[in-house]
Amino acid sequence: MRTREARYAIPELDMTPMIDMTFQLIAFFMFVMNFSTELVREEIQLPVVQLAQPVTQSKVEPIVLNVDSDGSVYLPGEVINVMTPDGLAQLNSFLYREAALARLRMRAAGLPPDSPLNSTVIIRGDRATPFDVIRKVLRSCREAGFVHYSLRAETRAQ
Amino acid sequence: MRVRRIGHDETRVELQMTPMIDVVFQLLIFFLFTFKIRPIEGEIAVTMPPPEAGQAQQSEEITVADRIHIKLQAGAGGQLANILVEEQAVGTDLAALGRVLRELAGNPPPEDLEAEIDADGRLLYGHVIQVATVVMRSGIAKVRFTDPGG
Repeated sequence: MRTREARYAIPELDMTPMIDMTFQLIAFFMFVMNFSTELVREEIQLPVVQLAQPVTQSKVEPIVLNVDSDGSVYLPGEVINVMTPDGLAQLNSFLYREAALARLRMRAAGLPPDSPLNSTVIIRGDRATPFDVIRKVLRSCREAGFVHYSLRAETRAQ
Repeated sequence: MRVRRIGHDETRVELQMTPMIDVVFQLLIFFLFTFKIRPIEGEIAVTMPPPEAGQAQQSEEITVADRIHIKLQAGAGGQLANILVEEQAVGTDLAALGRVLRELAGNPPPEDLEAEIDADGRLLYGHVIQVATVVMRSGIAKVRFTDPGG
């Protein structure tokens, strides 16, 4: 009788391969996920081009301006419309503030005070935006003293 | 001689896997739901000096004559109606624009060659970017946009 009972031992499930696989999956998702620090609005449909230069990462923190087709610009914490004088004034004051901050940072880094601003303005414009809107945004940026711009587009092969 | 040990030493220590597997699955589900494929973004790098500096540069550059003027005309609904390169109509074919620009730029194109895009205000931004891409691919490194108001 004793030998019989030994046969009914509880079968144990081997968990190791499953845990291996699960960790693999978690590692994959962790690496693939981009915790983008850029303020990216998903609803903006970028212009589609066949071949654009890959995005160069600058060492200096960029300023991101998301421009929608109706002239809305998404600033951190608020939405303004550049087609209204009020909105344009708000955009200007935001850009002047950013330019002043960038100048302070440059001074802290030991650059000469009259050198052009080294921060980049990233413009993520919707493809259906009339160019007047983009021109207005660019003009405000230039008046604030910015020099480098990165116009974003979606790269799609033919 | 065999020593028989008695007592609790003989019981096997078993690892409790259940909580770990629970947490791991939670993590997996979190990553699965937050996973999103974003299209690859490219950029068109443009350098435009502030208005005061731009004016001073302009007079200097005109004497060098290293600027290609591209005018974009808009049609109904902000669509591209015509492209004029140095006042010569090219049509709306971007491949033809690329050929004309390569011819104008020469081979290899001079390093300080600049293209000035004068786009109609009603033209949709997508078309402007497409033209700017063609310009950059034809070997002209610098692109700028005209600004009649500033």
